[in-house]
Amino acid sequence: MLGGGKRVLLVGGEGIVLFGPTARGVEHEVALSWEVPNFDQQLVEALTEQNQDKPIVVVFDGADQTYRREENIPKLSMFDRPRFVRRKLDLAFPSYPVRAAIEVKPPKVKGRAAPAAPPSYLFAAISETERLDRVGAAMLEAGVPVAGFGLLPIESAGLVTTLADKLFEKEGGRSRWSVLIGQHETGGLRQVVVKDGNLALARLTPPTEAGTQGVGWVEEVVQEFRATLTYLSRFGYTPDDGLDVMIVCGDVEKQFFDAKTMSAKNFRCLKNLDALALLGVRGVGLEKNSFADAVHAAWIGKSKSLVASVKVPSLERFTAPRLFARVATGALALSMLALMFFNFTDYQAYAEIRDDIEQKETRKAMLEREYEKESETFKSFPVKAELVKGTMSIKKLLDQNTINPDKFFHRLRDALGVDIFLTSLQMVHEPAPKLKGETPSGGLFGAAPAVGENGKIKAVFRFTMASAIPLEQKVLRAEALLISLQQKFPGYEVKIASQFGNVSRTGSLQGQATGQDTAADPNANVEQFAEFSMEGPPL
Amino acid sequence: MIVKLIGLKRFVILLAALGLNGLLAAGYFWGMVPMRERAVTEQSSLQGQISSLQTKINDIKKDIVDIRENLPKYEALKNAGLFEGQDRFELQRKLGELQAKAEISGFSFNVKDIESLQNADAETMEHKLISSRVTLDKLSTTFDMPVYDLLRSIPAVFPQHARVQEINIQRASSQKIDAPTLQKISAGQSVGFIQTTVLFDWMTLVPKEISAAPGTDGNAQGFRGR
Repeated sequence: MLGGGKRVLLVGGEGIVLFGPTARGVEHEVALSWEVPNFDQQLVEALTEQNQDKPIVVVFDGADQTYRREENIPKLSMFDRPRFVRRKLDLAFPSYPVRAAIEVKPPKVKGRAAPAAPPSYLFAAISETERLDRVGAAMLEAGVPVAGFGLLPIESAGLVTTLADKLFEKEGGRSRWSVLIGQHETGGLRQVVVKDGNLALARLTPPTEAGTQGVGWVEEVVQEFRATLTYLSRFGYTPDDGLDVMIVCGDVEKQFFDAKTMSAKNFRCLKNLDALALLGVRGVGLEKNSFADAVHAAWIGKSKSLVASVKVPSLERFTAPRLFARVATGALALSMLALMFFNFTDYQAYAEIRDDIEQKETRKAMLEREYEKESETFKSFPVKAELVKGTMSIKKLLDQNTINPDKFFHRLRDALGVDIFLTSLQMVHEPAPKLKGETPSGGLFGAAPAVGENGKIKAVFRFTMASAIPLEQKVLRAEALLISLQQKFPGYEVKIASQFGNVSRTGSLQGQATGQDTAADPNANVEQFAEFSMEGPPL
Repeated sequence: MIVKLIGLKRFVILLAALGLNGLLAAGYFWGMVPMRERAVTEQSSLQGQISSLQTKINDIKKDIVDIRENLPKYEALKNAGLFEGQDRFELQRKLGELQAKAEISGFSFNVKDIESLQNADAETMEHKLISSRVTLDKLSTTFDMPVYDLLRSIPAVFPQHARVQEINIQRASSQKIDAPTLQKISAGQSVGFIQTTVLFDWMTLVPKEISAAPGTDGNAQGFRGR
């Protein structure tokens, strides 16, 4: 079966031959001559008659092909080499509408790696595309898919090597050169010569009066083969290299070929069906056909891809849009999958959210019932909550700014002692500003407010002592009282506002020296008192 | 032309693919996305409502606990007179009670106009905090103990709420200790060795819209007496 179910359309000088895939084989569908009056219509019908959905590989087998070897391509990066080769190709075949470049692989030597050599290319070109244009128009009309366009000699180089391997590998060993000769239904005697697996030479001899079978054809083949040998010697062929010759012909023609006259190391004549069998392909509709086209078609059809796909403008004008349509369809399919995925995931998320919403609504209803129940309890109280709360807060404020004077008086009493007689006592409890609805005073930069939240106590008291006590002792006693008050009232600012007799132990002094005790009070008849002031937080 | 170039089958497939993509995209961007956004909004809104309800329930439960705890205290304060209107006749009676409790012979008193104090809690309760400054003057005693007794009696007579602002105790230098004075003392009579002035504030809460008695402006006036 043609690989991947492809059809192969061979286009030659005499006409076209179409091969289609069958079960494990290749079928000769139709052969049309260019001279047929309604060639285009017949071709369209043939294309649409069967296997219409199978893609078609168009292979050019005409004589208008030109080849040139381009060697010593400089070592360039993988990005620069294709551009360099394209430029060389354009220079080699500037006016040829169809051009292609194929890299020539270095020969493989068994048991050793391929020798490193600068890359070389085989340039191919077609000068005339009228026939291809007709074929392209018919394919467009028929609406058949196109798998690609190739040149038969390039595509069949592998066929020659494979057949030679299968026929001669085990027998006498392979030669460096191999040639496959066959009469083609598309027109002409085709010779494909391969050296070390690479295409070396391709010749197409137009049909002659000798015909396509019989003794006359055999003689023509031998003659053309010998002409090919002279070409080969120019390409470096020597008998030491060896030459494997394979000819596709009928049973009758086989008898007339003499291996000895063929100057070949290995020689074989085989029918097209036998060649197909070697390729593992069955031929259908070839019983009376000894042409070699089917063998090439089977080989090309079997291949996954063309060795050198060539761009032909008349085919390109609809293959490019079709490729774009295919790519676009693929992209749209991916896009569809992506959108379906997004829709699905979003829907899943949406469904989860809806489930959650249902649960939340249930919870909300439950909370509303609970709130209603608590509100009923709340409303059942005889007094509003704000009233109770506010009252407690105000009561707290009032308590904070209310003192029990007893505490202060007791502590003061303890500090005074029994030798001190109070003459006056003034105590003021300044409340915190908040009680009066004022803003507490305090600096902008965080200075502590002047009055704390419990207010401030200010006390001033005067006292006397027994008049017999000397002034100096009274002063000392007052100073001792200052220290005692500072200890008993921590956090309080305690000052002596006025000392006994307005005396200052370090200040100015007036008096008289009379011989009496200088420590005696010079103002003995004046009532003496000391005055203290105290300021601090409530106890 | 396009149909011819790419083939009818391929064209139909392409159109169908485009159409399906369009439908799916429209369904996604105009259907699914807005639907999901609405659902998310609804979900957030519900969550907000639930949080708000929970907060309200917690607050109301807390308030209920507070009320249950403080209602007896509130009633006690109310019964003790925290919500009295500071009627001046009532005040006079209380001062008489104070004098009796302290066992003081007598004193002059001066009560200033009621002052309304700014208080945010009172505002919330739709009440106002009022204060009357009471000055007890010419408090004349032999010793200072009755003065302290008077100071201790003030919270008993004005339980809710009185606060002492100022105490001024002076030993009277003019009072001589002679035989007549000592006789008076032994007879249990008061001799004015100690002169005291006491200032205190009587503070209560009254509703904001307390209606005025006819002929007054709604505030109790200053008062003097003995």
